[in-house]
Amino acid sequence: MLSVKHLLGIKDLRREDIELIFSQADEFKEVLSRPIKKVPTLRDITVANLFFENSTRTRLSFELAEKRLSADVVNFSASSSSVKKGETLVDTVNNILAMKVDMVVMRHASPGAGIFLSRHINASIVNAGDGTHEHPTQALLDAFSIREKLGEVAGKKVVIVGDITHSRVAISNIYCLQKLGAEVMVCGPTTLIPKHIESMGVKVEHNLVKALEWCDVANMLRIQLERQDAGVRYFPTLREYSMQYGLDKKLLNSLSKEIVVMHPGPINRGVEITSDVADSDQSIILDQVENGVAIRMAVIFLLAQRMERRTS
Amino acid sequence: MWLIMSWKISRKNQKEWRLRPGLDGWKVFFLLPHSNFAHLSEPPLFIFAKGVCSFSRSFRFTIAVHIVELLRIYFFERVCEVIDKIGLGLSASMRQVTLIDSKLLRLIINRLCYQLIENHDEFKESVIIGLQPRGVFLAENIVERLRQIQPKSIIQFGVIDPTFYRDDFRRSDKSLIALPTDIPMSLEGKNIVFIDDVLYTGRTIRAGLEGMLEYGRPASVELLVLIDRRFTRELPIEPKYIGKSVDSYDNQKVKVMWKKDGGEDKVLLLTEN
Repeated sequence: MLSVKHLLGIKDLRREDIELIFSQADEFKEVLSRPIKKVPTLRDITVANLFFENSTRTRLSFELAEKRLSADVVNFSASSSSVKKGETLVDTVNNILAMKVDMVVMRHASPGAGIFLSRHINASIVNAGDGTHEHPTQALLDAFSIREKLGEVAGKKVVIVGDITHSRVAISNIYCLQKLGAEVMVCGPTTLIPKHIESMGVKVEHNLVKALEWCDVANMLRIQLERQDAGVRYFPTLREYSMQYGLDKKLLNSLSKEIVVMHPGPINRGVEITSDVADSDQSIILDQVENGVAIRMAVIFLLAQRMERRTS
Repeated sequence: MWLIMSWKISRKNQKEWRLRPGLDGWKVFFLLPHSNFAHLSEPPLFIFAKGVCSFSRSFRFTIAVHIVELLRIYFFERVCEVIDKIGLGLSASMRQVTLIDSKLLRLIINRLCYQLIENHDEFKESVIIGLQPRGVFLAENIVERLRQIQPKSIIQFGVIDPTFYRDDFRRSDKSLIALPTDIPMSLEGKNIVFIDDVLYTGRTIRAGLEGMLEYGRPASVELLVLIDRRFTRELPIEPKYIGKSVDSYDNQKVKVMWKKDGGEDKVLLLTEN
């Protein structure tokens, strides 16, 4: 069983928990390849997907995962709800819970929203991204994809390239990869790498070519234009960014070994990664999406086991 | 990795473990060099200490290491027997009886195989499915024997895990961990031989059956079990091929052991006191 009751961040997980999630995700991947892609395990559970921020991949992935486990799903998106009328987070959630919802999957713009909520409500909470804090399921599926492609994560060299400062995916990935024994490096312009990130045990590199020569796996992050504060320019132009830190086929082919290319999505084609790289054999971007459903099924299945026992 | 366990020696278990007299009231600390009892390759270290030891941990350890060598030779065999029992998942106070030994088990498997051949001939339209986890070992043994008896026929074999179809999800404190399911063929129109080692309440079989039916609509499903614990059924499940029927109580457990787990092929009846 998992050692945690909510999945709020990779920081709280132990290595055994991560390996348990991976082993169950293997079985759920098999379920997804069956003619009937459903198991009846969670048919008595209702899950609410609360997305206070936009999402395509994560929301669909969670919804599919829940439906494949036969759970009932309710979706909530902030843009079409009473949050616009000023309803608070706790009120929104309590109203939803009053309708006997057992589990909440939440994406919110404020870091720590999940932790705050876990102190006020009884349901199990899965963090689908909270501000610039963590995005645990993304990190789990990234590590799972590396394990699938390369056999194991321990000892592998992974570089995360891009806007590290504003990236919850980067933080969660760093925690997850380190817990599994990989070596992590971050690469990006000095303006987009937080100070003192070496204290997390990661290497820092500002030259993309050197970073790619070192690594076995490159995880390219999107430039978070919506997060960058208005008026603060982290780099002169997008074109200059993509010349220095963008990955194209010429650069990929010039490396001394074949590396694995990953991207959490959505891709800004031509900025951090070009189309020919994104669609090449070395990229496992679509595998990441496929694994996302299996990982999320495993997480929901394991968390549901820790919920209160069913009584008559 | 070291694992430390401690037991208090009482009059009762002093006698049971055949320790020399005068040790009751002492506490035994077991330091085991592996985390899995059943795979001990070297004898454990243990310390006998009376009362509460007020020395520091490292000092106690040093004393222990010196005392241990003398005690280890004296107690080795007896302690290993106790550890073996723990490895089987029992307390030291569980009694065990061998229901079926290796030779009889081989004969039973042989007989079951011939019974299967009688009904399925060359297995052209038949599939053998083993139930995770322990039905798989039995199924593998049966498939191997079938291939020896009839080398020309192609035996189709699959494995199913019942975890996602169980009816005790969130009803017990047991942690449910799924094991691999691998059914590489369609089951549509096939005659299925469903194999498990022990049939007790029938709930696991019911779960496995539900899972299996999602792979197609079989022509028929037959159940093969090594041990049929009669009169303890909680669902209407009936086996067609039975290795041995056993009448047992609730406080008893039937355990099937295989050579490939270490030890030998045999079936044990364990009774908790």
